[in-house]
Amino acid sequence: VSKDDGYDREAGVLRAPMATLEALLARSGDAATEEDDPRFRQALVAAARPRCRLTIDRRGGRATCWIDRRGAALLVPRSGARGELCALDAAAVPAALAALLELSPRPSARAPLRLPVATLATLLAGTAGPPTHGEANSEAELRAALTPAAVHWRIESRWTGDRSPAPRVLEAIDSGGGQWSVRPAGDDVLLEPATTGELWRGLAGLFPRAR
Amino acid sequence: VSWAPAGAARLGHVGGFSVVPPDGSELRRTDTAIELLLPGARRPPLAEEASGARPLAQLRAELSCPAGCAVWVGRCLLGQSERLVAPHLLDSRRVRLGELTGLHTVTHHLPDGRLSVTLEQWWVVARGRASVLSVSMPTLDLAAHAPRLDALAASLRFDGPAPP
Repeated sequence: VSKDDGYDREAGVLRAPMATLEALLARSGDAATEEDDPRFRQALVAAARPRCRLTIDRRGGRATCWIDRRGAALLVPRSGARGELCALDAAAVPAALAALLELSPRPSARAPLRLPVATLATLLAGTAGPPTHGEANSEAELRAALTPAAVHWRIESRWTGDRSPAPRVLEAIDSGGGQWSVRPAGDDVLLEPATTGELWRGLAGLFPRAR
Repeated sequence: VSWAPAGAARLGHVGGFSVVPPDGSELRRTDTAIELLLPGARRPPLAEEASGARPLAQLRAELSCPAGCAVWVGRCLLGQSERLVAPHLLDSRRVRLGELTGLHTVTHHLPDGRLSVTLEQWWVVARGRASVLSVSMPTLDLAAHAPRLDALAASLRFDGPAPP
Protein backbone atom coordinates (compact mmCIF):
# COMPACT_ATOMS: atom_id res chain seq x y z
CA VAL A 1 0.00 0.00 0.00
CA SER A 2 1.17 3.53 -0.66
CA LYS A 3 0.08 7.12 -0.32
CA ASP A 4 -1.64 6.75 -3.69
CA ASP A 5 -3.74 3.95 -2.20
CA GLY A 6 -4.79 6.21 0.67
CA TYR A 7 -2.19 4.96 3.16
CA ASP A 8 -0.88 7.46 5.71
CA ARG A 9 2.40 5.81 6.70
CA GLU A 10 3.08 8.12 9.62
CA ALA A 11 -0.28 7.40 11.23
CA GLY A 12 -0.42 3.79 10.00
CA VAL A 13 -3.90 4.33 8.55
CA LEU A 14 -5.29 3.14 5.22
CA ARG A 15 -8.39 5.05 4.12
CA ALA A 16 -10.51 3.36 1.45
CA PRO A 17 -14.02 2.09 0.73
CA MET A 18 -15.08 -0.45 3.38
CA ALA A 19 -15.55 -3.12 0.73
CA THR A 20 -11.92 -2.69 -0.36
CA LEU A 21 -10.65 -2.89 3.21
CA GLU A 22 -12.72 -5.99 3.96
CA ALA A 23 -11.46 -7.65 0.78
CA LEU A 24 -7.89 -6.85 1.81
CA LEU A 25 -8.43 -8.37 5.25
CA ALA A 26 -10.01 -11.46 3.72
CA ARG A 27 -6.77 -12.33 1.94
CA SER A 28 -5.45 -14.09 5.04
CA GLY A 29 -2.42 -11.93 5.65
CA ASP A 30 -0.80 -12.48 2.26
CA ALA A 31 -1.96 -9.16 0.83
CA ALA A 32 1.10 -7.21 1.97
CA THR A 33 4.46 -7.29 0.25
CA GLU A 34 8.03 -6.72 1.46
CA GLU A 35 7.78 -3.13 0.27
CA ASP A 36 4.88 -2.40 2.59
CA ASP A 37 5.21 -0.67 5.93
CA PRO A 38 6.25 -3.39 8.46
CA ARG A 39 3.59 -2.13 10.85
CA PHE A 40 0.94 -2.58 8.15
CA ARG A 41 2.23 -6.07 7.34
CA GLN A 42 2.04 -6.98 11.01
CA ALA A 43 -1.53 -5.67 11.19
CA LEU A 44 -2.59 -7.94 8.33
CA VAL A 45 -0.94 -10.91 10.04
CA ALA A 46 -2.82 -10.07 13.24
CA ALA A 47 -6.11 -9.89 11.33
CA ALA A 48 -5.45 -13.27 9.73
CA ARG A 49 -4.41 -15.08 12.91
CA PRO A 50 -5.62 -13.04 15.87
CA ARG A 51 -5.04 -13.99 19.46
CA CYS A 52 -7.94 -11.73 20.37
CA ARG A 53 -10.78 -10.19 18.39
CA LEU A 54 -12.76 -7.21 19.61
CA THR A 55 -15.99 -5.87 18.17
CA ILE A 56 -16.86 -2.34 19.23
CA ASP A 57 -20.43 -1.12 18.75
CA ARG A 58 -21.12 2.55 19.19
CA ARG A 59 -23.62 4.98 17.68
CA GLY A 60 -24.91 2.36 15.26
CA GLY A 61 -21.47 1.59 13.81
CA ARG A 62 -19.30 -1.46 14.39
CA ALA A 63 -15.51 -1.36 14.49
CA THR A 64 -13.42 -4.52 14.65
CA CYS A 65 -9.95 -5.02 16.11
CA TRP A 66 -7.73 -8.07 15.64
CA ILE A 67 -4.74 -8.43 17.95
CA ASP A 68 -1.82 -10.80 18.16
CA ARG A 69 1.30 -10.65 20.31
CA ARG A 70 2.99 -7.96 18.24
CA GLY A 71 0.53 -6.07 16.10
CA ALA A 72 -3.09 -5.16 15.70
CA ALA A 73 -5.49 -4.06 12.98
CA LEU A 74 -8.43 -1.80 13.76
CA LEU A 75 -11.13 -1.43 11.12
CA VAL A 76 -13.40 1.57 11.67
CA PRO A 77 -16.35 2.39 9.39
CA ARG A 78 -16.63 6.04 8.38
CA SER A 79 -19.31 7.92 6.51
CA GLY A 80 -20.06 7.33 2.85
CA ALA A 81 -19.30 3.59 2.90
CA ARG A 82 -15.67 4.39 3.54
CA GLY A 83 -13.50 3.15 6.35
CA GLU A 84 -10.11 3.27 8.02
CA LEU A 85 -7.80 0.34 8.63
CA CYS A 86 -5.37 1.30 11.38
CA ALA A 87 -2.13 -0.61 11.89
CA LEU A 88 -1.17 -0.53 15.57
CA ASP A 89 1.23 -2.00 18.05
CA ALA A 90 -0.70 -4.43 20.25
CA ALA A 91 0.26 -2.43 23.33
CA ALA A 92 -1.24 0.73 21.81
CA VAL A 93 -4.74 -0.71 21.26
CA PRO A 94 -6.17 0.70 24.52
CA ALA A 95 -5.20 4.19 23.38
CA ALA A 96 -7.00 3.70 20.08
CA LEU A 97 -10.10 2.45 21.90
CA ALA A 98 -10.07 5.40 24.29
CA ALA A 99 -10.11 7.72 21.28
CA LEU A 100 -12.73 5.69 19.42
CA LEU A 101 -15.07 5.63 22.43
CA GLU A 102 -14.29 9.29 23.20
CA LEU A 103 -13.67 8.42 26.85
CA SER A 104 -13.48 11.40 29.16
CA PRO A 105 -14.31 12.31 32.77
CA ARG A 106 -18.04 11.74 33.18
CA PRO A 107 -20.23 11.73 36.26
CA SER A 108 -21.38 8.29 37.30
CA ALA A 109 -25.14 7.80 37.44
CA ARG A 110 -26.82 8.32 40.81
CA ALA A 111 -28.30 4.89 41.34
CA PRO A 112 -28.38 1.39 39.82
CA LEU A 113 -31.29 0.33 37.62
CA ARG A 114 -32.61 -3.12 36.80
CA LEU A 115 -34.58 -3.74 33.61
CA PRO A 116 -35.68 -6.65 31.46
CA VAL A 117 -33.25 -7.16 28.56
CA ALA A 118 -36.00 -6.55 26.01
CA THR A 119 -36.98 -3.25 27.64
CA LEU A 120 -33.43 -1.97 27.52
CA ALA A 121 -33.12 -2.98 23.87
CA THR A 122 -36.38 -1.19 23.02
CA LEU A 123 -35.34 1.96 24.87
CA LEU A 124 -31.91 2.01 23.24
CA ALA A 125 -33.48 1.51 19.82
CA GLY A 126 -35.67 4.54 20.47
CA THR A 127 -38.82 2.61 19.60
CA ALA A 128 -40.38 2.55 23.04
CA GLY A 129 -43.10 5.08 22.28
CA PRO A 130 -44.44 7.52 24.86
CA PRO A 131 -44.25 6.71 28.58
CA THR A 132 -47.06 4.51 29.82
CA HIS A 133 -49.01 4.33 33.06
CA GLY A 134 -47.58 1.74 35.39
CA GLU A 135 -44.14 1.94 33.84
CA ALA A 136 -41.48 0.72 36.26
CA ASN A 137 -39.49 3.48 37.94
CA SER A 138 -36.25 2.17 36.48
CA GLU A 139 -37.71 2.23 32.97
CA ALA A 140 -39.01 5.75 33.41
CA GLU A 141 -35.67 6.92 34.78
CA LEU A 142 -33.70 5.40 31.94
CA ARG A 143 -36.19 6.72 29.37
CA ALA A 144 -35.67 10.21 30.78
CA ALA A 145 -31.90 9.77 30.72
CA LEU A 146 -31.72 8.55 27.12
CA THR A 147 -31.65 11.94 25.48
CA PRO A 148 -30.35 12.31 21.92
CA ALA A 149 -26.94 13.09 23.43
CA ALA A 150 -26.81 9.76 25.25
CA VAL A 151 -24.26 7.23 24.02
CA HIS A 152 -24.43 3.45 24.32
CA TRP A 153 -21.36 1.37 23.53
CA ARG A 154 -20.46 -2.29 23.82
CA ILE A 155 -17.18 -4.15 23.35
CA GLU A 156 -17.11 -7.89 22.91
CA SER A 157 -13.79 -9.70 23.24
CA ARG A 158 -13.13 -13.23 22.00
CA TRP A 159 -9.81 -14.93 22.62
CA THR A 160 -8.43 -17.68 20.42
CA GLY A 161 -8.09 -20.92 22.38
CA ASP A 162 -10.17 -19.57 25.23
CA ARG A 163 -11.87 -22.34 27.23
CA SER A 164 -14.81 -20.10 28.01
CA PRO A 165 -17.36 -20.17 25.17
CA ALA A 166 -18.85 -16.84 26.21
CA PRO A 167 -17.12 -13.66 25.08
CA ARG A 168 -15.96 -11.08 27.56
CA VAL A 169 -18.17 -7.99 27.32
CA LEU A 170 -17.88 -4.41 28.48
CA GLU A 171 -20.97 -2.29 27.93
CA ALA A 172 -21.83 1.23 29.06
CA ILE A 173 -24.46 3.92 28.71
CA ASP A 174 -23.49 7.57 29.06
CA SER A 175 -26.68 9.54 29.41
CA GLY A 176 -24.89 12.87 29.60
CA GLY A 177 -26.08 13.32 33.17
CA GLY A 178 -24.67 10.06 34.39
CA GLN A 179 -22.86 6.94 33.27
CA TRP A 180 -23.70 3.26 33.89
CA SER A 181 -21.99 -0.01 33.13
CA VAL A 182 -24.40 -2.65 31.83
CA ARG A 183 -24.21 -6.22 33.15
CA PRO A 184 -26.45 -9.26 32.61
CA ALA A 185 -28.50 -10.33 35.63
CA GLY A 186 -30.57 -13.37 34.68
CA ASP A 187 -33.37 -12.27 32.35
CA ASP A 188 -32.64 -8.68 33.31
CA VAL A 189 -29.78 -6.28 32.87
CA LEU A 190 -28.27 -4.39 35.77
CA LEU A 191 -27.17 -0.82 35.10
CA GLU A 192 -24.58 0.13 37.72
CA PRO A 193 -23.22 3.66 38.22
CA ALA A 194 -19.73 3.74 36.73
CA THR A 195 -16.92 6.24 36.42
CA THR A 196 -14.78 6.33 33.30
CA GLY A 197 -11.85 5.11 35.41
CA GLU A 198 -13.80 1.98 36.32
CA LEU A 199 -14.75 1.41 32.69
CA TRP A 200 -11.10 1.89 31.69
CA ARG A 201 -10.09 -0.86 34.11
CA GLY A 202 -12.81 -3.06 32.64
CA LEU A 203 -11.51 -2.35 29.16
CA ALA A 204 -7.99 -3.36 30.21
CA GLY A 205 -9.44 -6.68 31.40
CA LEU A 206 -10.70 -7.54 27.92
CA PHE A 207 -7.21 -8.41 26.69
CA PRO A 208 -5.77 -11.91 27.12
CA ARG A 209 -2.64 -12.64 29.14
CA ALA A 210 0.32 -14.55 27.82
CA ARG A 211 -0.16 -18.32 27.84
CA VAL B 1 19.37 5.63 44.88
CA SER B 2 19.04 1.85 44.85
CA TRP B 3 15.93 -0.20 45.57
CA ALA B 4 15.51 -2.16 48.81
CA PRO B 5 12.71 -4.39 50.12
CA ALA B 6 9.97 -2.12 51.42
CA GLY B 7 8.84 -4.41 54.26
CA ALA B 8 5.31 -4.25 55.61
CA ALA B 9 5.54 -1.20 57.87
CA ARG B 10 3.77 2.08 57.12
CA LEU B 11 6.05 4.41 55.16
CA GLY B 12 5.91 8.16 55.67
CA HIS B 13 7.65 11.12 54.06
CA VAL B 14 8.59 14.56 55.23
CA GLY B 15 5.27 16.02 54.14
CA GLY B 16 3.46 14.04 56.81
CA PHE B 17 1.64 11.60 54.51
CA SER B 18 2.14 7.84 54.61
CA VAL B 19 1.09 4.60 52.90
CA VAL B 20 1.35 0.87 53.58
CA PRO B 21 3.35 -0.79 50.77
CA PRO B 22 1.92 -3.89 49.08
CA ASP B 23 3.71 -7.16 49.90
CA GLY B 24 6.73 -7.71 47.70
CA SER B 25 7.30 -4.01 46.96
CA GLU B 26 10.72 -2.44 46.73
CA LEU B 27 11.43 1.03 48.08
CA ARG B 28 13.65 4.00 47.48
CA ARG B 29 13.45 7.48 48.96
CA THR B 30 14.26 10.89 47.58
CA ASP B 31 14.10 14.27 49.32
CA THR B 32 10.47 14.81 48.39
CA ALA B 33 9.12 11.39 47.54
CA ILE B 34 8.81 7.73 48.41
CA GLU B 35 8.97 5.46 45.40
CA LEU B 36 7.66 1.91 45.39
CA LEU B 37 8.23 -0.69 42.72
CA LEU B 38 5.15 -2.89 43.06
CA PRO B 39 5.16 -6.62 42.34
CA GLY B 40 4.70 -7.55 38.69
CA ALA B 41 1.67 -9.28 37.23
CA ARG B 42 1.66 -13.06 37.66
CA ARG B 43 1.27 -13.53 33.92
CA PRO B 44 2.53 -10.96 31.43
CA PRO B 45 0.06 -9.31 29.10
CA LEU B 46 -0.52 -10.27 25.51
CA ALA B 47 1.85 -7.75 23.98
CA GLU B 48 5.52 -8.71 24.21
CA GLU B 49 6.81 -5.20 24.74
CA ALA B 50 4.48 -4.64 27.68
CA SER B 51 5.61 -7.69 29.63
CA GLY B 52 7.78 -7.55 32.69
CA ALA B 53 7.12 -3.92 33.49
CA ARG B 54 6.32 -3.47 37.18
CA PRO B 55 4.03 -0.67 38.34
CA LEU B 56 5.87 2.28 39.80
CA ALA B 57 4.18 4.10 42.67
CA GLN B 58 5.35 7.49 43.90
CA LEU B 59 4.12 9.31 46.98
CA ARG B 60 5.25 12.86 46.52
CA ALA B 61 5.20 15.67 49.05
CA GLU B 62 4.03 19.20 48.29
CA LEU B 63 4.98 20.94 51.50
CA SER B 64 2.71 23.90 51.10
CA CYS B 65 -0.62 24.10 49.35
CA PRO B 66 -2.12 27.46 50.31
CA ALA B 67 -4.32 27.81 47.22
CA GLY B 68 -6.37 24.68 47.92
CA CYS B 69 -6.66 21.31 46.30
CA ALA B 70 -8.47 22.26 43.08
CA VAL B 71 -5.99 24.98 42.12
CA TRP B 72 -3.00 22.81 43.00
CA VAL B 73 -4.29 19.79 41.09
CA GLY B 74 -5.22 21.90 38.09
CA ARG B 75 -1.74 23.42 37.97
CA CYS B 76 -0.08 20.02 38.36
CA LEU B 77 -2.25 18.38 35.68
CA LEU B 78 -1.45 21.19 33.27
CA GLY B 79 2.28 20.76 33.82
CA GLN B 80 1.92 17.01 33.54
CA SER B 81 0.04 17.23 30.26
CA GLU B 82 2.95 19.20 28.81
CA ARG B 83 5.47 16.55 29.90
CA LEU B 84 3.57 13.42 28.83
CA VAL B 85 3.34 12.17 25.25
CA ALA B 86 -0.22 12.14 23.86
CA PRO B 87 -1.87 12.51 27.28
CA HIS B 88 -5.59 11.74 27.56
CA LEU B 89 -7.38 12.56 30.81
CA LEU B 90 -9.93 9.77 31.21
CA ASP B 91 -11.34 10.44 34.63
CA SER B 92 -11.33 12.99 37.43
CA ARG B 93 -13.55 12.60 40.48
CA ARG B 94 -13.68 13.45 44.16
CA VAL B 95 -12.80 10.62 46.50
CA ARG B 96 -12.66 9.95 50.20
CA LEU B 97 -9.69 7.95 51.51
CA GLY B 98 -10.24 7.33 55.21
CA GLU B 99 -10.25 10.78 56.78
CA LEU B 100 -8.76 12.39 53.69
CA THR B 101 -10.71 13.89 50.83
CA GLY B 102 -9.18 14.56 47.47
CA LEU B 103 -9.28 13.84 43.78
CA HIS B 104 -8.68 10.64 41.81
CA THR B 105 -7.52 11.14 38.23
CA VAL B 106 -6.81 8.59 35.52
CA THR B 107 -4.61 9.64 32.62
CA HIS B 108 -3.54 7.59 29.67
CA HIS B 109 -0.39 8.36 27.65
CA LEU B 110 2.02 6.86 25.11
CA PRO B 111 5.56 7.48 26.43
CA ASP B 112 7.33 5.98 23.42
CA GLY B 113 4.48 6.50 20.99
CA ARG B 114 3.58 2.78 21.09
CA LEU B 115 3.08 1.45 24.61
CA SER B 116 -0.16 2.50 26.28
CA VAL B 117 0.54 3.52 29.89
CA THR B 118 -2.05 4.38 32.54
CA LEU B 119 -1.28 6.84 35.31
CA GLU B 120 -3.66 6.68 38.28
CA GLN B 121 -3.26 9.50 40.80
CA TRP B 122 -4.80 10.33 44.17
CA TRP B 123 -4.41 14.00 45.15
CA VAL B 124 -5.01 14.87 48.80
CA VAL B 125 -4.71 17.95 50.97
CA ALA B 126 -4.69 18.07 54.77
CA ARG B 127 -4.05 21.08 56.99
CA GLY B 128 -2.50 23.09 54.16
CA ARG B 129 -0.20 20.29 53.12
CA ALA B 130 -0.64 18.29 49.96
CA SER B 131 0.53 15.03 48.51
CA VAL B 132 -0.04 13.03 45.39
CA LEU B 133 0.13 9.26 45.10
CA SER B 134 0.87 8.35 41.47
CA VAL B 135 0.94 4.83 40.08
CA SER B 136 2.05 4.20 36.52
CA MET B 137 1.83 0.90 34.64
CA PRO B 138 1.23 -0.57 31.16
CA THR B 139 -2.51 -0.37 30.49
CA LEU B 140 -2.61 -4.04 29.54
CA ASP B 141 -1.55 -4.77 33.16
CA LEU B 142 -4.09 -2.47 34.77
CA ALA B 143 -6.83 -5.02 35.43
CA ALA B 144 -4.37 -7.38 37.12
CA HIS B 145 -3.07 -4.63 39.42
CA ALA B 146 -6.32 -2.82 40.21
CA PRO B 147 -6.99 -4.38 43.67
CA ARG B 148 -3.41 -3.65 44.79
CA LEU B 149 -3.72 -0.05 43.59
CA ASP B 150 -6.95 0.50 45.47
CA ALA B 151 -5.48 -0.99 48.66
CA LEU B 152 -2.44 1.26 48.37
CA ALA B 153 -4.60 4.35 47.86
CA ALA B 154 -6.90 3.37 50.74
CA SER B 155 -3.86 3.19 53.03
CA LEU B 156 -2.97 6.85 52.36
CA ARG B 157 -3.02 8.79 55.64
CA PHE B 158 -1.94 12.15 57.00
CA ASP B 159 0.08 11.72 60.19
CA GLY B 160 1.27 15.31 60.52
CA PRO B 161 4.67 16.70 59.62
CA ALA B 162 7.79 14.98 60.87
CA PRO B 163 9.51 16.72 63.79
CA PRO B 164 12.39 19.01 62.73
